[in-house]
Amino acid sequence: MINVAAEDIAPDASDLAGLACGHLDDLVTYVTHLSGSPEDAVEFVAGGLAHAAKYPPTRVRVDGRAALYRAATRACRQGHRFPPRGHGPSRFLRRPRPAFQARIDAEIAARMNTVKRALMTLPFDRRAALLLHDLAGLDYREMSRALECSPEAAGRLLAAARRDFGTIYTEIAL
Amino acid sequence: VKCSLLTLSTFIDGELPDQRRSEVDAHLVGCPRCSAGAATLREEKARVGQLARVHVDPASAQSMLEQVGIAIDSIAPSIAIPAPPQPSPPSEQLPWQGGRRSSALPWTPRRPEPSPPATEELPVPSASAADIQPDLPLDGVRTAHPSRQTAEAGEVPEAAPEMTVTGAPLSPTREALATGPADPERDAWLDAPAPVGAWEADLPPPVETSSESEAPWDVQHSPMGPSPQPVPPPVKQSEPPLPMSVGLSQPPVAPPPAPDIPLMAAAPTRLAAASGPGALWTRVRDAIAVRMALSHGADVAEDSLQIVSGAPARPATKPTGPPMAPSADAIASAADAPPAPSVAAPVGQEVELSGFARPLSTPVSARTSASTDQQAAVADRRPTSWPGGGDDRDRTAPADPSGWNAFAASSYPLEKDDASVPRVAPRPLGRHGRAVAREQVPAPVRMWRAMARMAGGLRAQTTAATAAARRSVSGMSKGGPNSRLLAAVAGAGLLFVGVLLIGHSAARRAAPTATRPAPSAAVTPSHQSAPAQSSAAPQSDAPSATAVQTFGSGAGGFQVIRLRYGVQVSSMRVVFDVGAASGQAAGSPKVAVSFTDPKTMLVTFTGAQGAGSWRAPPTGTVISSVTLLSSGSQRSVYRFDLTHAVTTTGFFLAAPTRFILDLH
Repeated sequence: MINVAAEDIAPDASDLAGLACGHLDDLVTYVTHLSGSPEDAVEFVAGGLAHAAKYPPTRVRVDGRAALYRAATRACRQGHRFPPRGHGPSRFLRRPRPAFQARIDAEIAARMNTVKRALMTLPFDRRAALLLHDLAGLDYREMSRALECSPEAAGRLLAAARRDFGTIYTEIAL
Repeated sequence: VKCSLLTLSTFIDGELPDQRRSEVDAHLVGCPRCSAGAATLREEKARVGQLARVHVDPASAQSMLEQVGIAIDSIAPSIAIPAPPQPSPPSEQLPWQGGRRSSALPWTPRRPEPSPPATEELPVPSASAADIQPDLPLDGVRTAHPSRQTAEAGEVPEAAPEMTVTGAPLSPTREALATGPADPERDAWLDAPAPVGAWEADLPPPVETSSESEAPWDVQHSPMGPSPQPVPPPVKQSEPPLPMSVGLSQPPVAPPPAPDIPLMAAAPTRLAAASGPGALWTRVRDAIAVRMALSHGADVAEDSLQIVSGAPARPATKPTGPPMAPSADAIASAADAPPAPSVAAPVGQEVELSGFARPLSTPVSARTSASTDQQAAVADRRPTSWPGGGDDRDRTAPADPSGWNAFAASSYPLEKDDASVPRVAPRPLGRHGRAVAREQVPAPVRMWRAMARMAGGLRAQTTAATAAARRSVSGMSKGGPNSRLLAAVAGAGLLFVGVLLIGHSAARRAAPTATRPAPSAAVTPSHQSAPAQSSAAPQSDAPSATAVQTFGSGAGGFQVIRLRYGVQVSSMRVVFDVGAASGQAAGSPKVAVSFTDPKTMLVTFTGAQGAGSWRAPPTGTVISSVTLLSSGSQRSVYRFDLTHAVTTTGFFLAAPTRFILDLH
């Protein structure tokens, strides 16, 4: 049967928009500490949302916020920004797009402290696992959705991240 | 119980199954190490959880979702969607944001505070921005029609509404736009006199409007037709009103004046001289304008002269002199033209507006009489039309479309076909004049002028060359075929030069090559000198004796035993068999081959005695005869007479020692 209503994405877009509005602060907070820059975090989140809009409609309904975190994590890992930045030599010949301007209250989050220094030393996956669970409050199942792994792997990743984080934090703090 | 970091981490996260969780909980009671580990993990979890949060502005969030393309109006009602961004107050919002019109003034005049109950009934300002900022000139002078002020001042108390009450004071609302233009009765507060001290503190105090103190910075553009006439600013009764050409900026639009108002009959007023640097500038400008006008007086029509400020206006009299002599066609056109209506205006107090950018509905320039008009029309032979029977010369297109300027007299264009106005080119100085001028100019000044002239010429040439180079460069960069052609020519040139270089180097390398016979198996060249180079080969000109080729190590005690010849395919070979004269001799003697002329070759052995006899060379070869010129124990010289010039190549062979000389 031909899906004549394939372009009618209003219900899905509604779900995604509502979900994004409800978790936008948490998403930006998570990506801010994941990438280390609030400005980049906004662009990464926007890029992740733009990519999440292309997900199958059931993913958002089933995964919920984990789908958003997965999209944001993926965008941050792969450097997908919105608006996208030019790549290659052609970017020197084009006028760069204006950066996404957003009013965010990230003055405190932008300050570097010992915890963030220790976080920045962690590998991306372990840092993401640590932030997803301890900062964003995702459980193992949601972490597995966000990190695209099994719940057991997410638990192991989290335990390893905590071990590394504790070691590095102790060294930095002392 | 197997207690590990993974178990503890999963335990503190509450992800363990119930049974496993009970076991670990029981274990932690009795295991201080695991208890300490679990406490450490909890601390780390708390540290990460206490990281600062980021809050995104709802407006920015909505904007982001809109840009991403997922923001829609109908979102699931269960999820609270932040309200759309409220427009920022006008003080924070830039004029170019929000599609609103910016205010006409860089500041907002302070309005009287509105009364609270009047806010509900207060009509939303339905007027446009022009209505909102009706009567405020740039100099901060509140100008309004006196009659309106007197009529409406009493009706509008201090309870006039404040524009900022409605939240969007500078833009009309939809309701206001739907209702149409504003009611002048409801906007009466706009003309209410501002209270004393109501102006901004940082602004200059209001200046009382006066015809005497008005600066001529602006020329009022008067609209055409019976539309609302500009209301002249309030002036003192003792002073005559200002002419229409010199008005304040943007007077308020008022109802058309009564037809009996004799605007034209009003005597033009000379602007009073202002004070300050503006006055000085005005005087300088007018002085320049007057002098330029006088200098161009012979070529410029009289009505193109405009003086609007301090300097006195030139009387509108007919210019005298041959340049203004009327021509036949001009007189005919003037005769066809209807007479201009006489205007009862004082003579000599007019300010003309011939260069005005906009046509005037009411000519303000007054002619002295009809005869004067006709004479002026004769002097001005531009095609004129007389639709209304009046003097419409002000309706002609201005010379400068950008508007009026004070130097219109000098910039007024003359028509090309104006043959009646003679153009007298400045006569160059004659010989006598130049001589006189030279005598009057000191020598250093003349030298300086000459140097300046040379420098100017050089500069002009440099500029022209630079411009040509730029044009050529730009042509190369822009033009497609030309650039490709040039690139092809350049590539061909480079290729040609490369081929020349390669060929030259190859020729230099191939020239000295000489065929050397492969040594026989019995003969091992243990020591042989380098093959003779043919650089000293005789050419067409006679070789000098100094072009000597030497071979051998220079040992002594040798003698030339035998001299043999061998005819090769392309050369003639001469073999000198050299042996030790007494006992043992090591090495080889020194042999020098030289040419005294192209056909005479000398072979000199040093350290070797010449052979007593030798066989005659074969006939038909390059060697015609061989002669032993000198023979001693230390030096022997053979002379070879050649049939033609040859190139020689020689080398030694050891065991037995032989000197091989090839003649090519």
